[in-house]
Amino acid sequence: MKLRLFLILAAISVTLVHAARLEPSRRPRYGATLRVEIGAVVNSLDPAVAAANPEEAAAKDQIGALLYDHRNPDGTFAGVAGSGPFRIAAWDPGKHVTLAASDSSRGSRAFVDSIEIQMGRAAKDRLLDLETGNVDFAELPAEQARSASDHGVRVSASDPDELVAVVFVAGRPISEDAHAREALARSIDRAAIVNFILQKEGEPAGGLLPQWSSGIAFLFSTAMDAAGAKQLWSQIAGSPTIVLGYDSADSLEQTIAERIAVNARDAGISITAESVAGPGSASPNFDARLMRVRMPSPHPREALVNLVAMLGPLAALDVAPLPAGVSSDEVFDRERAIVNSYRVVPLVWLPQVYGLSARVRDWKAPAPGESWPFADVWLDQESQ
Amino acid sequence: MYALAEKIAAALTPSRTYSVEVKDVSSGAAVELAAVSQTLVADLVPRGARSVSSTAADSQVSVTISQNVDGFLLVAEIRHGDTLQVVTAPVRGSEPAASQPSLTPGIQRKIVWQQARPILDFAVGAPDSSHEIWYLLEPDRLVIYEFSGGAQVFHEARPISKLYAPRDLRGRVVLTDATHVRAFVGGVRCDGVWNPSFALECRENPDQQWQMGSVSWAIDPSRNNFSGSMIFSSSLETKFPPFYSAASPSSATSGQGGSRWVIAGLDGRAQLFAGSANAVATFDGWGSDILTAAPACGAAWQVFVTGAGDWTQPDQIQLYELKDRRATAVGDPLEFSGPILALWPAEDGKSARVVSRNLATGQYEASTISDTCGN
Repeated sequence: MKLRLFLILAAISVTLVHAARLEPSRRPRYGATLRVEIGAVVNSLDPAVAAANPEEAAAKDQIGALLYDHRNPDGTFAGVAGSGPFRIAAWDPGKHVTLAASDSSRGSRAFVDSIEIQMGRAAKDRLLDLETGNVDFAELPAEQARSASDHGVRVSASDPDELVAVVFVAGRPISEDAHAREALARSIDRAAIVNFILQKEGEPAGGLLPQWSSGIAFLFSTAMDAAGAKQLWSQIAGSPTIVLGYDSADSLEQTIAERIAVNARDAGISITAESVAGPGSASPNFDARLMRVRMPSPHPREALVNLVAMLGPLAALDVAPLPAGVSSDEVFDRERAIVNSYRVVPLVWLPQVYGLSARVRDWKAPAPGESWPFADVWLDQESQ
Repeated sequence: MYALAEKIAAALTPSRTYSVEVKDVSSGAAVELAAVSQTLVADLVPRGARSVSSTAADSQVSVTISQNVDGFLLVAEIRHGDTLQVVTAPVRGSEPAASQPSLTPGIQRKIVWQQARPILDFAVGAPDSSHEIWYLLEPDRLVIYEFSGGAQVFHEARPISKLYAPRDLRGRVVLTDATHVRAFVGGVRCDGVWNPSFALECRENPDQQWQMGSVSWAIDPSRNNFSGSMIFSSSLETKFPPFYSAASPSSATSGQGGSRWVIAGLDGRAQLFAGSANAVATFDGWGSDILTAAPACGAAWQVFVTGAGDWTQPDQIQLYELKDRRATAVGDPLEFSGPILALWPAEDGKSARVVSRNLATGQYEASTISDTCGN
């Protein structure tokens, strides 16, 4: 406890020093090492080797974007590692990688000399290292943003670009009952999820695209309607129970699932929340599951197409293709058709949250589809 | 509004009467909603639709001014009985108009050009009283516009093959006379001449010297700073610590010419040198770009100084008076809605050229600023 108190006091002191010593400089400076911590464990940087899980795949993609100059049309990296702004200087699989700025980069040399990435760091350890100034960049769970900020950590959040939704599994008897789907959708208090679970770091979602992207999210209601839910559920024959699955490795999903179950039971809906392992099997033993989907693009059509591709197989969404160049009216019609089917029930939009040290300059949170902009940031070495 | 009215009219068919309400959920500046409503009603009249009170209307039209990733969006919800139809229309963005010259005490700014492509520097030449030639130095080309009597009569872009492309690329344009222009960028020096058409020749810049009036500074072409070496017209070389920018009083203002220099160093500090290798004063809180200002009144040495922070933040230019090894802020700072990327002396010897990036619009803005003596 004493050690923890000391570290907190030290962090506050470090933060105050950083705040007071933001050195005047506008033009980027070259040099220094950017210290990064991530939760994922990346065992291979070879693009041909498949990642073991989505977390590793995402981290591998971020590191790859620093090593490769450009991508193929299908999103895979083109050329050789080191053609990008950085090259691999040291590599300890699953633990640590050091990237050195490449002087021969076609996109011109990065400002920092190197990046040291520590892998497999738990969220609480990343937060502690941010508090004590031992790291320059770390991803933070959205629900910890407020707490981190309260502890003096410099927090940067993107526009909300990750949808958390309930997806009904096609073919399950209760999932094929439109009244049951709508009843559950109406019973959920999205505002409470945002305010209490996410500590106000996020937005209630009524549609499949966020307001900043589509401009029409306000047309979709996010209000809870417990009475309506109760009435709909009362029309269902028998005494069915909805089994709501969530990723056993995702504490946020678990908390949200449990909150949904409380709301649903208040509306008279019989429901259980159960953890499931992995992305899902061919014959799942749940009727609906929580899913998180990040937008690959800020543009509504591309984001909606990706969403349908990600969720469609599980929910058997009956959606016609959305060709490039369609009007915003058509995108809205397609979005409304999916939402009104209640096969996908949008819950909340999450931002990507990053903790930064005071010496990181020219940081801009990446938009959907963009990678960590480590080649563009620079470090104010006076603020160390 | 025209496009939205067309879609609404189609959705109103066959009902002919409607009521309308307008709301704004965008984060843009406040809009006169009544005026939007009136414009919409006027656009719908020729299409046979008639606005009535909500109780007497066949349809209810609710228009929302919204915003998406591409800009502003008008969203209309048309309710007719139990049916709801939604139509949208993007609002075409208009180029923001150049602002009027401000009368900020101390510094006056005039935005003279803005564009989406990055600008490294710009210059305006006037071969005669009715012609103006604009040179815009972009990262990969020199763009030339000729105006006659205010009308554009010529436009051409000449590519520049750089030898270096640092991430914070800097460039400079120098008009040597009415028909000659010189550009420094990415390790090359480009010489342009009108004879009678425009020709541009680029080659590696010998010793990486950038012409700065009667002095030249050596730049590190792979970085964004000058090495610290200055060569004077007498071929005398002086060494300073590496710097981003430097300023010296003109002989007219100080009588001491180039013996005093203030440099904005890489460590974020501005240092004053007075003829010796050691700094005689250090000034805190200054940004990376500084430039001697031609004072509108008095004869003291004054410098324009950009603000602290980084390129994700608004910027400012503060005028300082340097006297007795002290720097005193003069007047209020001139605020910019984004970072200042370049600050160079203008050809008239009185004003300065500023290139900045407007964080709200994403546009690169070319401005001229001058010391107004507080009027």
